[in-house]
Amino acid sequence: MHGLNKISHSIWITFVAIWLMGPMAAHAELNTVQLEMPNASVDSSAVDKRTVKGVGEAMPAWVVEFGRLYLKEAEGEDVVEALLQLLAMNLGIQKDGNLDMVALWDGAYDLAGCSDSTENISPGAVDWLYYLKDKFSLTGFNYLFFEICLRHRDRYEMRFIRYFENGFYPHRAVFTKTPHYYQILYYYLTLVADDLSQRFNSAADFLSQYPDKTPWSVRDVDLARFRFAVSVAADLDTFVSKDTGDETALWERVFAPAEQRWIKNTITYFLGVPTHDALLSYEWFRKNLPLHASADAFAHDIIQTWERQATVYRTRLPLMFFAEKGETRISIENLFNATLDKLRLDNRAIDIMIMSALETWLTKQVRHGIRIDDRLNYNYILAELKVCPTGWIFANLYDCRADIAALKAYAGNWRQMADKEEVFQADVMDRFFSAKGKIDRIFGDLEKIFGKEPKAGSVNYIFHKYRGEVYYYFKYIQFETFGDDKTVIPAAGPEANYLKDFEAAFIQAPESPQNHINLLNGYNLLFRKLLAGGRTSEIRERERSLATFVNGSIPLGSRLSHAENNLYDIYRVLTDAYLSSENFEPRALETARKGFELARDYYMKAADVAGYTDHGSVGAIIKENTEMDDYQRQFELYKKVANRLGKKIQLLVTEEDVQLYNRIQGMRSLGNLSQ
Amino acid sequence: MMYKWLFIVFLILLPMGAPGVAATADADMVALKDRCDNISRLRAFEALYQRRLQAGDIESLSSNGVNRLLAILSELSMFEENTVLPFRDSATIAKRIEGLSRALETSDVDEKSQSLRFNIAYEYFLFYLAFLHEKYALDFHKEQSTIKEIAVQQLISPKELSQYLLQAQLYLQTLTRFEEVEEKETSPQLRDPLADQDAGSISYVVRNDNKRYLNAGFLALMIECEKLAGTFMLETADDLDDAFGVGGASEAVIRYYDRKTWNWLNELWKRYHIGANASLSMGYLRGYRDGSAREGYASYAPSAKNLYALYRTYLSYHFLWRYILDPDTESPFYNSLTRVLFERLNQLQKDAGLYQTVIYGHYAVETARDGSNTNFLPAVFFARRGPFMARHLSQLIKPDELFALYGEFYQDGAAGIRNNIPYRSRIYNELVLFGLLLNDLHLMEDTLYGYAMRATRIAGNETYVGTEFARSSRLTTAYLLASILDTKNRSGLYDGFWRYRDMADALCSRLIAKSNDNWRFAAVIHKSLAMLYSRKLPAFDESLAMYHAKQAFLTPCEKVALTYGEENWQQFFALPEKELAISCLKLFLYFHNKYPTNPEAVIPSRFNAHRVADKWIAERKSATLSYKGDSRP
Repeated sequence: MHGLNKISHSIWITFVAIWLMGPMAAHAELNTVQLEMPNASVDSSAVDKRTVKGVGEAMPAWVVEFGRLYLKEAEGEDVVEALLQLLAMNLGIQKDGNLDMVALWDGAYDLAGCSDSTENISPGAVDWLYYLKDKFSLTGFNYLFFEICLRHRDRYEMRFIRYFENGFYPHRAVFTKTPHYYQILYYYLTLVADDLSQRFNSAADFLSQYPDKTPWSVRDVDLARFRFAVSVAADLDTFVSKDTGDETALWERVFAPAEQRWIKNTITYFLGVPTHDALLSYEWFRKNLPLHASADAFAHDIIQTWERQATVYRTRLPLMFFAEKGETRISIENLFNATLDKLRLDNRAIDIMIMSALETWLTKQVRHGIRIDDRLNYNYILAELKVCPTGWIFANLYDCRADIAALKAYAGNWRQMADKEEVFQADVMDRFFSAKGKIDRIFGDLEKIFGKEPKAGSVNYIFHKYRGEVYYYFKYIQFETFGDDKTVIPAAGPEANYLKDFEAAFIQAPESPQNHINLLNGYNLLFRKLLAGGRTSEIRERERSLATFVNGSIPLGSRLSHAENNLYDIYRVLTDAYLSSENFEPRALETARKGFELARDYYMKAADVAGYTDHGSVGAIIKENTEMDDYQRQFELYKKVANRLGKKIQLLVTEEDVQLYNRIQGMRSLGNLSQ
Repeated sequence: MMYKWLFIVFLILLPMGAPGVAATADADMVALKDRCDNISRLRAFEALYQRRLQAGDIESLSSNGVNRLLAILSELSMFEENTVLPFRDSATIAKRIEGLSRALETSDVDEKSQSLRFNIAYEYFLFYLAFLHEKYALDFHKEQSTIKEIAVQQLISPKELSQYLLQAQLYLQTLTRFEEVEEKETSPQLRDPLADQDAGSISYVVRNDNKRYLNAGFLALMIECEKLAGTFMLETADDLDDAFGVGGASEAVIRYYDRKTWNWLNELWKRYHIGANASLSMGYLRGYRDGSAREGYASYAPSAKNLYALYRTYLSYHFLWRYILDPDTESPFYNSLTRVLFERLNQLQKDAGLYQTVIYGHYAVETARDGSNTNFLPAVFFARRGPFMARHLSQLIKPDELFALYGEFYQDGAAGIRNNIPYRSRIYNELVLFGLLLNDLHLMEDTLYGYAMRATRIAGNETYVGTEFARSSRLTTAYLLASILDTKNRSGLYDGFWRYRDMADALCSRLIAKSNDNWRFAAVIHKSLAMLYSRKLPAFDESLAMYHAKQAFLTPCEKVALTYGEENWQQFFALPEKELAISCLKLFLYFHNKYPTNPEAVIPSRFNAHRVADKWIAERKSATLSYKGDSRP
């Protein structure tokens, strides 16, 4: 007992301590949060080593040697080979241009020490310090290497390119992005750009004449180099377009005006969408050009656009691309469409990149959009984007939206339309063919991906929904215009093809109310058509397949409110159809019964909600409601059919149902309690 | 907030310390949460209604309630967009935040930057309101079947909302601060007269409109109130608190800013009055009559419309926090504040030429109904929005949900009455009338009837003779009874109707009066009872049916005799409700014809009833005869 007390006492103390420490702990946490992450790079990590090495230690011998040689070279002696050897050895540059990382790190270590100890060497004694003062870093010495190569390009051009392409650029993350770095990029471009563009242009000329042949001017190595050049140009462009807000940008101080012009032109050539569009229009290039080349260009383009907007139109809110400044106005829609346009280039690598970019973009819109309607809208689009396997499919699906919406609008007030046939010929047909082209393209691609007989569930229901709607709305309008005449447009395909799509969509996603509505609409149209053609036996067949959906685990129509549920209409059409043929008359009674039971179920629910049930008995609801109207109407239809077949309604339904009907009738005749 | 929670956890963890204390704290928390939820749902319905109205899904219905006053009172919406808080256009708000932030960056620390800061805080607050509004509407749609397909509920997260609110607070923090000293000084004479001159009472022009001023304290009050209302919904707790040093809602802070705001509004009221009588105040104030400050003169005299909007907004937030915190003790300060507030609103509404001046006048009178106590008013004020929502949203929201919310407001209101207990019966009457609008038989029988009985008991022997339902428990009960019996009769759910017979007999005789039309409820009650008794039911009793049929017929007869005199029995056929009167007559004649020898079914001769019946029979006969004799071509 005593021990227990002790324990509880210590728990007490702990609690009190925690409570008291609350504020302190919170402050401590706050401090750590505010600390900035150190910038990870070679040069700054070298700073740490300084303490080990000790300040003021002598400069490494190879650097001194290099400095001496460099000065000699500047004075006109031919020591280039020795210089390059020295650099290659100490910076880990191997013969084939690859980079030896261990040697590189050693070199970095040496150079980090240098930048410190320069102070200790008297400037008069060592003249070369003047040249090398600001270059004691990996990037700086690499710059020296490239610069020397470039100056003697007649001899060392290949060495430059070899090291740049195999060692330097692939490991560019190691080098700090100082102006020297961008100068290296610029040197590379000056070496390769003209040659490349000449080769590509002549290849393009050649291909436009002989599209089936292989152009002689472009070698494999050029194709790879093109990809490299694109990437380098993108890199350089980030430097060029960096806007620090100063009067002269940094890049303008680094490069002379003539160089600036050249750089701009070169960047435009390698990164421009027109270049890539033009090249990809040739079959040969599309086959042989590395896909990543264009993808890099487009990725860069997108990132640039976004960053420009994010910096120029900087927002306090976590909102993307909302801006209006002077005459430039950026609308979300335009930006979205511009990005979408890029998807229409049929390139797998671009595709993946832009798809992920779009997804990010849409997610941002959904989370941070300013208007709630935008958020809702983009949320829908995002949901569709996520199910599209390729961007090409998504672009087509997105384009379908407008056509389907137009068809839907026509279908909505088609019956009131004055000159139906004219509009049909002029507008509806166009819309239909436009939508059909796109949806066929989508399914063609889906077939390529999932095979001719895709596994169940691999093709998302949204595609079936879209295709079903395209055909359904067109056929609905056609039926409303021409009835059952044989003016069927062959392109519209088999009679009930929309039904197949709606069924597939429904089976896959029975939770979605839209699928219920579509499938019901589809059956309704089909039955009306069959009734108009007097094809009663076919109706019977179709009714069986409808019944499997109605009796399924998630019954058709169960996700809909009674106002949306079209089953009533369907049963009425069926009843009419069966009544018109002697063989099927008994079926009419059956369908009338189904319609009545449906209405009764909805009425029961409504009465329960409104508070008009009492120990299991259901009363007439004392206010206007549509469920009650439906009940009355379906009851009367049932009665009519029963009478026609010589049966008594009282024997077909329960006594309560009849009483309820009478009560509803009576309630209406009793008048209102005046309020 | 975090410490508060820790403290609660601490209390709960007390092994054997004081369970009573822990339980009380817990119960307080639950009650607070309930009230916050109520406010949330109230605003959610409001947002839903606004959104439907905007979408054109709601046609404006005429107010056809039984009580015109209640219908007018229910028109008053608490949380909708107004000129003080124009929060609907979120795109404009975002643009303004953008521009203001840019301007703030380049400006020095001076008056201009203060004004910019204030404006940014204001716009962020509007942004918060805009998204809160949308969130409520979306939360409802989440439940609806047709847009379930997408994950709408994540579109606006509580985190995002609290960010906007905290942003507003951060920008405002430099302009006004809470001083605890202020709260302790109770006597206004002791206070430093310059105390109100600190930054908290500085007003700023908002949205570059020199007719629209807002006070820093006022904005702070609104932010604090939103924090209070969002205590359980927003994620202002925990880390965010510490990061920004803003803390959760606190009662002391709210009271402080409330007083600041009131002082400011007082000042504006004075200026408004002097401005309105400009000729009397030569040289004191040179503002323009339309409310804008003249160049070179700092004084601002608000126009009636602007001042009305300010007072109205203040009313919303003042009642919001008073409802949620539910102060037990009476505060003479708040009591008189409430009284003055309603008086001024009444005056301003008249001055501004806005219609329906009855609303605030009514409340102004009501502030004195419970002695000096006004603590019941916030809940009643919120509750009275119920009938409006019942009329407009009954298609969307289940009746029991509507009743759960507004019914609770009514109950809270009734419980808030401390001194004049009979006045509770009026609140109960309004509750019953609201419930009747929902037209739900279960509700009427199980809940409303109980409230009606309670109201009748509390009211005692009332002397009121008139047509205003809410004032008379007897009348309200009669209306409820008529509704129940009529509904039972027409819907066919007869079960247990005989329970109401005694009450019906007691009530009906007192409903017939010379000056009003309340007889119709008596007629409906008797008629319904007669029809119910004549059905083939366990309670089948034709003699009772005959009795009630006779009473039903005699009711309009007596009314005619009282109003027009016995000799003018012909007026029976010219009554405003003559269909009802004639249907009663027909019902009686049915029994008369069925059982001619039964003494209950003999045509009575009181109030010249026999003449009425004779005339009717004669007319029928001649009509039939003339029809038969008619030779058609």
